[in-house]
Amino acid sequence: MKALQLTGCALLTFVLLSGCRNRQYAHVLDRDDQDMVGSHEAGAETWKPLIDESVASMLGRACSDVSTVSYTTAGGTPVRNVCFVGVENRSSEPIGDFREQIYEYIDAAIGRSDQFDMISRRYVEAAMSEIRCRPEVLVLPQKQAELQAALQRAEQPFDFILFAKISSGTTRSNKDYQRDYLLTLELLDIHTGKSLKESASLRKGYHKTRLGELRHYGN
Amino acid sequence: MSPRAETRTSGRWQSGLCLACIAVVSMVAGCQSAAQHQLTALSAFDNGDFQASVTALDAAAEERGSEQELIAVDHAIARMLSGNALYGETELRQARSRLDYLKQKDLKEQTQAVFTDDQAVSWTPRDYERRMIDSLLVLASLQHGGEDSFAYSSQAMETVHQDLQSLQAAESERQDAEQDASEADELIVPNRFSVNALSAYLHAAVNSEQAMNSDLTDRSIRAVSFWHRGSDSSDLLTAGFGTQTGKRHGTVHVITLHGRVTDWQPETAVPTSAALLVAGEILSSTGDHTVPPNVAPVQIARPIHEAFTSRIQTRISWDNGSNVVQQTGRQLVDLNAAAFDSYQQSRDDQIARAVARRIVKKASVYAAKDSLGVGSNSGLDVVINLGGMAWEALEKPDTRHISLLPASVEVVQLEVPVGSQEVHLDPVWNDGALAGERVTVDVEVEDGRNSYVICVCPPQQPDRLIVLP
Repeated sequence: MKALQLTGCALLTFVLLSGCRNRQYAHVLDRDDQDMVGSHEAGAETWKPLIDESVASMLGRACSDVSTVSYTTAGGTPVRNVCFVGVENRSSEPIGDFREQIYEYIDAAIGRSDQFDMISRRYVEAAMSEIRCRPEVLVLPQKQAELQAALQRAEQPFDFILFAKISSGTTRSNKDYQRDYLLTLELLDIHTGKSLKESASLRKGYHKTRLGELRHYGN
Repeated sequence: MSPRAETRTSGRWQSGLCLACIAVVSMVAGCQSAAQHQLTALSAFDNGDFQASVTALDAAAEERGSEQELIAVDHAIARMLSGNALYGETELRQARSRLDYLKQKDLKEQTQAVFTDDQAVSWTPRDYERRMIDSLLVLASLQHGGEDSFAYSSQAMETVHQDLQSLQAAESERQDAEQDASEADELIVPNRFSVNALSAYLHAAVNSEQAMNSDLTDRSIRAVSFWHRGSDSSDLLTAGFGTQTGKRHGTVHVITLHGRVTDWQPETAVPTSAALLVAGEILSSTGDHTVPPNVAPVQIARPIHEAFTSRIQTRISWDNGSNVVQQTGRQLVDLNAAAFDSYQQSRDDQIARAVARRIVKKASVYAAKDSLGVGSNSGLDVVINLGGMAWEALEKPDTRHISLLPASVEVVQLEVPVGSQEVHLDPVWNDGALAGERVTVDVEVEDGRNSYVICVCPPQQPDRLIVLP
């Protein structure tokens, strides 16, 4: 009898350690479905609102602050030619495939405004590759001139350079931590050297247990 | 029952038994045949005949009872090396999806494993093998244009990032346990994660073609140094990648796959076997019944080689008319060392499973004797003990592994001007002396981009460079 119990116990241990093999499933989200919240890193729930907020702020300020324009439309609206030179990740997390999406979202959102004319990414990439230019060195007039020359050869002159930067700040409390994400858009007028900066931030708490949220934020 | 009916029944039993025997023999023969085909494939691979390896693996896959998933991965690798990168990539991707599914534990298989051995569980790659599959996918994609290389390299880097997080978490737990309040030391990268250096290298190369992603390229290059056990990246990286090169220049990467990864062999866990022997003796002397004596030792799987030692490297040279520019490759990944570290990490787990299995088997025999009321030292007792011993002796350690992975991956880069360039590849000894025949390759170099030359040094001819088409 004891032997039977022993066998049973050993078997049970093995069985408890295993489970069932499941196939993977997927479903299409409805428009009003909320984004999944990344448990270890920022995801759609972080980047989308950050982009929306920073772009909206940028467009709002650009109406009044920026004076250099290339030309005006038939209606008299000033149009600014913008060269968007990429998203720089200075946060402590890799952003993975979101890097491309963040670029495209910002590019499309600003491009929808009547006051901005975004130069196609393909021209910008080709020109940057040609002159071996990293985004961060484009504050130097010499590099700006090289890029301008390369883009002008493709008949794509620009007045502004748009930089996007992601940064983060982490606050730890034992095993839990809070990470503040900041998306900064900086529009640099290459003629005057003046820049217009707008940013949006979002805070996220990461916890090892459900109680972590309650303990730190009282939710 | 009439004598005639009895004879008929007995005849049925006999024919049934015969059929069963034939089935068992044919199954065993099938397995042997699959193993023979696999050996043929390995032999062809070792001699650099990758197409013959593909053919032999095709034959192995057709045999009943063969390890389909394992063969599929080996087949994909052999196909990739034989020049069919597109098919190799497709096969590797399909195999990876299947392996991700099989990685989940299955109740039925786990239960079977208790009564047989670990080979009852579907084969899933060890961590270093899984990472190598990810990197091979990037390489295969780059071999035929690199359309999906960005996606594959991003996927590989997700795993790399997870590994970093798990290392950091383990370090943090260690500090908590030791109540160590000091600043975290530099993380020590175990060898089993060394494949991550290759993933990071390929990720850096893929992203370096976009000047916009220069920060990502830098980050990946730092990751190469980190996963290469903290080495200085300047030792490994002899030229800038993609847009890091000078104007009107590009980078030629030579990636050499040396040898074939170590095979695995059974290892007797001596202290565990001795402990089980003592435990069995105690149980036999104090219990109502004896348990089968511990004749078959507890066996686990371990790699044959602990590290890869090659004295041959690949040297790339390019003649610009006035002088010759050359660089010699450095080992980026030692897969034998990764395999050995993986073994060391899983050793306790392997032993624990083997011991639990023995307990179940011995307890089952004890329970059978108990329920049948078998007397000590009776004939039936001896028979049951013999059966129990045979049952235990049938256990085999899980030595399954991907056989056609290289033992080592070496990389070297050279910055050359755009255009069609003739580069020379030489297998050289550590002292720089020529070890084998020079291979000359025409490489199309594009401005700010990377060109890849993938070479294989087969295990039986380590001084021969086979350049993949």
